[in-house]
Amino acid sequence: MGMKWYIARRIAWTVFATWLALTITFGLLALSPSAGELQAAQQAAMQGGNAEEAKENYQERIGLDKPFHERYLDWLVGIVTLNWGWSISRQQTVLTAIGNAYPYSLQYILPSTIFTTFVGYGLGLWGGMHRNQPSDYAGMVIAFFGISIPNFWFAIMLILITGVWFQDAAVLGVALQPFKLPVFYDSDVPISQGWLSVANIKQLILPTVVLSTASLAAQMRYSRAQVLEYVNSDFVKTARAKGGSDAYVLFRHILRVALVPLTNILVGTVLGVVFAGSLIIEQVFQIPGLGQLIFKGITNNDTALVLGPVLISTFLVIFGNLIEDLLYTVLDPRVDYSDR
Amino acid sequence: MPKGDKETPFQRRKVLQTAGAIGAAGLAGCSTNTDATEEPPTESDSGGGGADETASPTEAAELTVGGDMVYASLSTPSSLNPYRVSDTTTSARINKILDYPGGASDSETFDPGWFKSWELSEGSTKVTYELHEGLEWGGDYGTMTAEDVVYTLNNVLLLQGEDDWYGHTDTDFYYIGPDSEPVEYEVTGELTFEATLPVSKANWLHEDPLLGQWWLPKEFVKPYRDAGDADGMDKDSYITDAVYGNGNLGPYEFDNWTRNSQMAFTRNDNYYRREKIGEIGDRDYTESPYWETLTYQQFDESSTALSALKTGEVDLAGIPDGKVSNFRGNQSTQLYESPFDNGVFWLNLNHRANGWDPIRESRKVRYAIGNAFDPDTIIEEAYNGLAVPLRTFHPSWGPYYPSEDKLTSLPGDIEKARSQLEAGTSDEYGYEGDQFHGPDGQLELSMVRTTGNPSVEIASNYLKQRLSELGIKSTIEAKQWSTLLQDYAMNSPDNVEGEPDWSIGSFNGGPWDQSVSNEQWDIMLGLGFSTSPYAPWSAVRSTLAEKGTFNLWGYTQDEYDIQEFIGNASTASSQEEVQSQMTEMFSFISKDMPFIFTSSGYNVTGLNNSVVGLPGEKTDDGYKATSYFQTINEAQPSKLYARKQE
Repeated sequence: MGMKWYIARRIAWTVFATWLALTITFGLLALSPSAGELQAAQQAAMQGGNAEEAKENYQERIGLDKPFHERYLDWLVGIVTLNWGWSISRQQTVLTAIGNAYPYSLQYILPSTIFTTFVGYGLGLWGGMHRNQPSDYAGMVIAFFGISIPNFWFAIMLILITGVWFQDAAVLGVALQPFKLPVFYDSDVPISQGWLSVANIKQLILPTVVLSTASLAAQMRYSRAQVLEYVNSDFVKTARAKGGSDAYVLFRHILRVALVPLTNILVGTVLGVVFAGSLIIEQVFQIPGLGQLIFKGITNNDTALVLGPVLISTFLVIFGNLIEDLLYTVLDPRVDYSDR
Repeated sequence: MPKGDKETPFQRRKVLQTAGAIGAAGLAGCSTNTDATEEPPTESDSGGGGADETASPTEAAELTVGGDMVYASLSTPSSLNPYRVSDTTTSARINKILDYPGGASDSETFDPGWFKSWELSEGSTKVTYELHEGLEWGGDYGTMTAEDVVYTLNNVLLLQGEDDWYGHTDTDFYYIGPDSEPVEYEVTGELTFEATLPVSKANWLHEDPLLGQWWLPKEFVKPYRDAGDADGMDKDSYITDAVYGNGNLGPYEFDNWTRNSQMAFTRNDNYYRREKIGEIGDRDYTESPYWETLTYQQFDESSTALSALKTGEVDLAGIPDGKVSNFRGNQSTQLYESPFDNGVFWLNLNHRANGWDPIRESRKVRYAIGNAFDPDTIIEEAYNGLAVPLRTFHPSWGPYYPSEDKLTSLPGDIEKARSQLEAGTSDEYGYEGDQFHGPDGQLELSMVRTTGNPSVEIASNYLKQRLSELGIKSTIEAKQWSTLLQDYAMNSPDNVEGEPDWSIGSFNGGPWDQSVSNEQWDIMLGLGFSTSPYAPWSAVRSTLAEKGTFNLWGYTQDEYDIQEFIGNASTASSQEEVQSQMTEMFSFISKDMPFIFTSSGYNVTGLNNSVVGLPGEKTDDGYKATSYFQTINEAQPSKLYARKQE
């Protein structure tokens, strides 16, 4: 009963925190200047018309003429009834916009997350077990490269190298043209050839690699640190004394303990890096995903379009933290929330 | 970006942010880093409806229908609603599925579109329109009739005030003359109607807003009009899914629109031009369009677009002036250069009370700043020669550009600038050694420029250096486009004590001393203006008349009544009279130099080498347009422009 009550309270908190985040976002958007309004006034003035009237017409057209509280209440009711509004900038419903955009984001974010989790943890664990050995140094180079390199620059460089230079270059007489990757993401390819087609996978390689670099580095550094904390502990020494191999000691003893704090960063850090990085990735590679959707919504002052994805991502992060906390009780039986 | 995606001879007036090649840029989305204006030219609104009939044909090629064309675009269309077009990107997209009603193939000749004919009466007060027979709407709305056109005019476009249920943004274009009276339209037959102009308009071919206007079937609009439901009409799938374009009204049919990615069109096998227009002049529409599919691929990052052009993943992309040299001599691409962009750029000077007073008070001081700015060097060094010099508010290739002996030139002479500065200022000013001092010490001027444009940045740094040689200190602030407009261009009487004698709007809140911007500035770089070269009076009236709706600079003078001249010129009954009036006015504007006129736009478009038959003169790198009316018009390609079969 204690645990169920804990979960119920956490879910209630999730709803409240999501509402708070959305209200703040709504307020910030309401306060920000409207580029469309400015443009309408500008155009009217240049045509010899009435700039103020043009502004009023624009506000009326997109619903900004209503009082703030009326707009807020309309929006709140809409959220609950799944009428998330109409996107002025995309000329479609917000749910349709999100529905169209999320598959494009998911198809590179998911592989990237899986890749960075397994490879990042793997490299970190290996580095921790082989501290100060050449393999550990190699891992650190990868980690520092990933943390340091700006995603934006890295993406453009990869495009130049694999997209443009490979077209005409040869190495040791071998033409690189067969290895050329597309310069941008063609959104028609998954529709016409399939989401799992070779053509689609080929154009996802670069975005996945770029997105993976930063979060892989973070995963690696954290997991290495955790292994180093436990590698000289008494229970590990005992396991080795009883004849356990490196692999046995790592996976049977160290990993279990290290996973508790590592799950802590899985939701927060990874999701944060992923969502922040996805905007840059989608901008450079022209992927019509959620990152682009939110960004364009903000720059076009398209309130409805911004609030939908913010709701989803806020809810995911907060709910994800709940799952994370519940996982602790599985990973570490000593953790119990029933008395909270 | 594709040239020729324009708004017909009737040009929407736009404020321009200096693009890489000082190209014209659409207004909407022309404001922030994410928008098109800082990037290679977007769909330009220059050019006429077709090839100049005096241009010689380009190389012969066996042209057949087929192939896929992919255009790189750095701008985003806002919708597919033909009634809500506020930027050239949106109009260019819709233009793929809806032809323009008409255009001009040269300065005097009507170029047919939906309108089979367009005739201006003697005395220039009546226009007779005739539609082609058999123009089919998409959906179940039958054929287009005169009733469709006039219904939209009288129930959507011409409404003002409380009756205006739709809020169409271009209503003012249909109110003309000194008293802003409406043009009146009347149906005279199933396919014919007539317009009565309240004033004589000899150049109406280049001013008629209807030639750049789209409309929808009366039967579709009427229910929404009766209910006053503008929002409902905007969200109707007939508009949002572009069903209206599934007839024969345009060269392509709408295929799909993946937002933030691409918009695709497929060849319209029923395109009316094949049968209704066929061959006209040296253009042949009997097989047009020549592409099976046409796709606009959107890019937010200019470098990605240019890389895609190099690899052949796109077939056409605008090239910023700083990157043109990378493409000269490139084996896989060719360049189409056009010096006929109608964007006009200048060094903006603040004549209002929060600027340096001698700028407003003294022509000599403005000349001094102009000599320091040295426009010819700016064109060479900042814009790599890819701009066309001009000395007044009109492109130098335009029909009203005065002869050189009637224009004021600035040789870029610093010594001359010094003497002009001293002669133009009061005794409170003068040189102390190398420094130019005023009552508060060494004179310091504040400059503001737009961000994200290397050419503008180079120009501003050069000007700072030159002002320093003149003994003037200067500061430069870089601002986002929207911030520049809001805090520097817009002005308000609230920023000055007292009530203004008059106020026109956000961009001209009152006389120079009764309305100022939020932020102080003396010089502004990066802002220009588009002007219809064959009908420039409206642009001049809105910017340079004291009570012009867009006279943000606060410019005023007592010597010349610009408003009167504009009124006379725009209502003149003969071309000769128009020519005389406008040339005289532009000569005065050059002499008075409210701003330092610098250049007009120059567009460079990169194309895949497999595209052939471009209009213009052959060059080492591709082609060059030889007339304002020559464009890459892929919406209505003739046999002169199509892709070679692979």
